[in-house]
Amino acid sequence: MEASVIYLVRGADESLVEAVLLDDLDKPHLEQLEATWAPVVEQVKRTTPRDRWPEDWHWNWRDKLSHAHQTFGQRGFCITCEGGLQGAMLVDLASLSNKGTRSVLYVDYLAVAPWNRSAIQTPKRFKAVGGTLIAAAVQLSIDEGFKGRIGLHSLPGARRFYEKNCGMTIIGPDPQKQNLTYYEFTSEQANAFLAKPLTK
Amino acid sequence: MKLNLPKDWFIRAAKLEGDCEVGAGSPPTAIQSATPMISVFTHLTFGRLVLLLRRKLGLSIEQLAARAEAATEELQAIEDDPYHEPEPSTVYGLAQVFGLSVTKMMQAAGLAVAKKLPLNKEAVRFATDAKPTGPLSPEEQHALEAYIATLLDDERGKE
Amino acid sequence: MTLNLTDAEMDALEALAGQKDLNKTAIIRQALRLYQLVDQRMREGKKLFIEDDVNKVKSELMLV
Repeated sequence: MEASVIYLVRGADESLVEAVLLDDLDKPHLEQLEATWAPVVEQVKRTTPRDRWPEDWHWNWRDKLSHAHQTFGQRGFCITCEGGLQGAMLVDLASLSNKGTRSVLYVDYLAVAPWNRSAIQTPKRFKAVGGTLIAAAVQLSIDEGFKGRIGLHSLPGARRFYEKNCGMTIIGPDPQKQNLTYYEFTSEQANAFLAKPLTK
Repeated sequence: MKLNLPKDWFIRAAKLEGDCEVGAGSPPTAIQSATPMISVFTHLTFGRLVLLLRRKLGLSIEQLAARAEAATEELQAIEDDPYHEPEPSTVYGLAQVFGLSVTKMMQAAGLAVAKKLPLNKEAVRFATDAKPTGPLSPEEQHALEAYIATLLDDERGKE
Repeated sequence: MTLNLTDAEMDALEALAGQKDLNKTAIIRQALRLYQLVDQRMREGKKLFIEDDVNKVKSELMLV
């Protein structure tokens, strides 16, 4: 497992805070995710109507990760800061794209900790978690020969982030994925994203 | 894999992120939306409770299974898999072995709804990595006692 | 490690590399990942099917 020093911005005072990006989501971090994110999500579920629950409330990270350490095709990532797990991602290197001919690295799951979401906590505890995970996916795509290309199905509430902030190409609603909108980075877009993040 | 980006990158990333939500994956299916949600946290906490009480009694999983008249595989799943929903009969058997209220054990296992919000502070402290064997450390003993105390306080109707 | 491929296999490798916009090493690594994934699932007792999208006919991929 490799660690990279990264930075997050504290929502309360906009200060820069050192954090760590790990290129694995191992058992201790998975357990930390389950133990610390779930109580917050469950509190939200008890106090809000179902249509305002977090869109990833039902995700089973443990099940999705069950193959990640047995095959080369899946890789996990997580971000830690001040002792807490701030974001997690699972990518798939073995997916076959039927949306175009060029191979992409597929972002299977991406989520930030519930306290880093403005729908749950204002201000967010930390910002730049999601963008950093996207940057990690792009870097892995470059390292693995995919030239920075990535693909993902956006959760409905995150479409603005991928369209406006990341500048990803909208491929369109995918009927095989409950009509979630599928986005891709071209190689040029991906490299531009790493050079200068987020466009308006 | 190494990520090397300058501080400016993160400052700009955070500024432009603003209050945007970020997430990618699958929404709930119709089946998931219709069925009661699996409480990962509740099951994780219950698994830890069973594990620590078992260790406190100095029992192996097989010995506990025999006393609780439950399947060994089920007890293993309770301790290891936060997505496993325990069988009510198993929870009943465990309550008898541990000398705890059946009602509270059912609530702790997520099989019954507590009248008020549970024990979350103690439960969070509780639901951390615990070793499968060996005597309890002082920290584990304290966390276990605090968690059980909240279970009993709850029953007596205290705040 | 040296890879010994026939001319036809090399042609197929180059064609795939062109189609997928990956270099040849990346194609080989991708093939390994896919093989490992399929093998893992098969050892778990699962089956792999190919479905004709038009007439919805499924045929099982035979791996022996």
